[in-house]
Amino acid sequence: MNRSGYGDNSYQGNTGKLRMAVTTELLRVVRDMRHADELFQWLSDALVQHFGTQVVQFWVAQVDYQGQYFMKLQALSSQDNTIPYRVALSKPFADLAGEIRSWQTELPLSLVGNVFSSFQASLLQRYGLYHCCADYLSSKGRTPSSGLASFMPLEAVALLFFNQPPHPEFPKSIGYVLRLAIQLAETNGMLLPPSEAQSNAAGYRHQVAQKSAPALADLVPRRAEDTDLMTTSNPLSGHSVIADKLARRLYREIDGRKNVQELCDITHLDLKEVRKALRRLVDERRIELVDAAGQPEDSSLLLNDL
Amino acid sequence: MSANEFATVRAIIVIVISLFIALRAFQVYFQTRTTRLLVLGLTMVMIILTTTADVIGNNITFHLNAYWYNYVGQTMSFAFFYFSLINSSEKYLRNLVRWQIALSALLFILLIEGPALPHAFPTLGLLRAIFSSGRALPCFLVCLYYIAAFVKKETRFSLLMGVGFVIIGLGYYMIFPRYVNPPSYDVQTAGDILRIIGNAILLVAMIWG
Repeated sequence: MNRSGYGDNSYQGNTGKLRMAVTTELLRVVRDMRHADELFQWLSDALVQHFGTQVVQFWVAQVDYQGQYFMKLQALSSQDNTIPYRVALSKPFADLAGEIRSWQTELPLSLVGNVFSSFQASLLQRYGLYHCCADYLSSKGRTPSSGLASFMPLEAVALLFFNQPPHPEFPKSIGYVLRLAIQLAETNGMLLPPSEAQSNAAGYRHQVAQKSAPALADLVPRRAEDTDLMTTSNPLSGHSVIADKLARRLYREIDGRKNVQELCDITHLDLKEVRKALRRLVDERRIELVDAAGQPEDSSLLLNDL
Repeated sequence: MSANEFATVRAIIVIVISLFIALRAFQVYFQTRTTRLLVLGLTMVMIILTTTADVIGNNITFHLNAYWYNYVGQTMSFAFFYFSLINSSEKYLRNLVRWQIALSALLFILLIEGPALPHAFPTLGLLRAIFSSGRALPCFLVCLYYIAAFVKKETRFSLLMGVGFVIIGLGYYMIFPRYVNPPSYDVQTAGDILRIIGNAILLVAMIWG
């Protein structure tokens, strides 16, 4: 080994052997697995054990009943148990996984300070996590054939944290093992729709802005009926004035017929600004959001990612 | 001060109070786009226009016959105000405003055609009495609405509005004999005083309620 500890052929040869050993083990155990959860857990344990990873997390993209994506922690392993579960399960990890899922590409090895906020980075460093990288995994899924269950496409993100920079070949080897694992999962029929009962990991709802925007754009804001105005409450007292200028401008155009996209066009505001204004109006109980059929929608879910 | 002079003073006070309420209502309307405020503003504008026309008509020798415009305009405006209270639906209120604007505009025809109407005929007094005191009806309806609102939720605003409208209604109602009996200026003046008090209470409700 040279001064940096890396770069000589023997070490590279060892990396190759390590990859071979993990792959062999994977091929052996995957036959007995029934669900992707088991696979991810095995992978996270293997990466921690063989590749010197301090913490490994597997986040899987899931779709809620409103058609919005959120990232769910499917597996977690760590070198030791000193890192608290609440830190390993915190929202910044879910947010990062969600972003990588939306980029659909890997995150090269980076310092945690370059990826997370300074507060989060210092927290991670306190637990000896200085470097991180991530891999995006996806399977195309398979159309159902007679007698077989349908396979849903899988999107997952593997987050890996290191105490010190790993060998440059490690991320490549890890990526190879992960892709092989996904292919094996497809082949062995493990990509069934996930069930809540089979996963013990908690998840964070990370709303992808691009996915939620179409759903919000189709909704129709409707003014809430204020039965007290002019009867028990004085409308001229000024309490009914909408303080926020953008919200006031938007409220002016709300007629119960135009959807959010049309309101964006009329007010020349972008969706983000309109969403903020809608959030304010919803909080002040001046409007409600309904779908095209006039059925009320849960505004808090749609406007929650602000 | 004669009864007619007192009536003019009363009219000026009502115009000033109505103007204040109308301006404030429109100001808040443009900030909140609350249709009920638009109805209130339009109601006050009609009160101002009809009262102004009536004052002018009473103080010129030419037979303007503006009192028809006055009676029908004010009855209609108070009625629209009452209708705006009974339903909160935005669609309903927008339709109501359209009707209010349309009918208010049509009433101008009554004002323009006033001089063409006969200014003396046998049942004129009775008709004027009915139309004049008929303005009390929507005021009493509004009062009843605010009484019900006050019973449900006791607020100063609903109390003052109810009291204000019942006094205005009484002021309109009690001048009924003025048109059928020999002129009773005391009744007219009493009615004017009540209307001043009633409008003042409405102003207090809008400021302090």
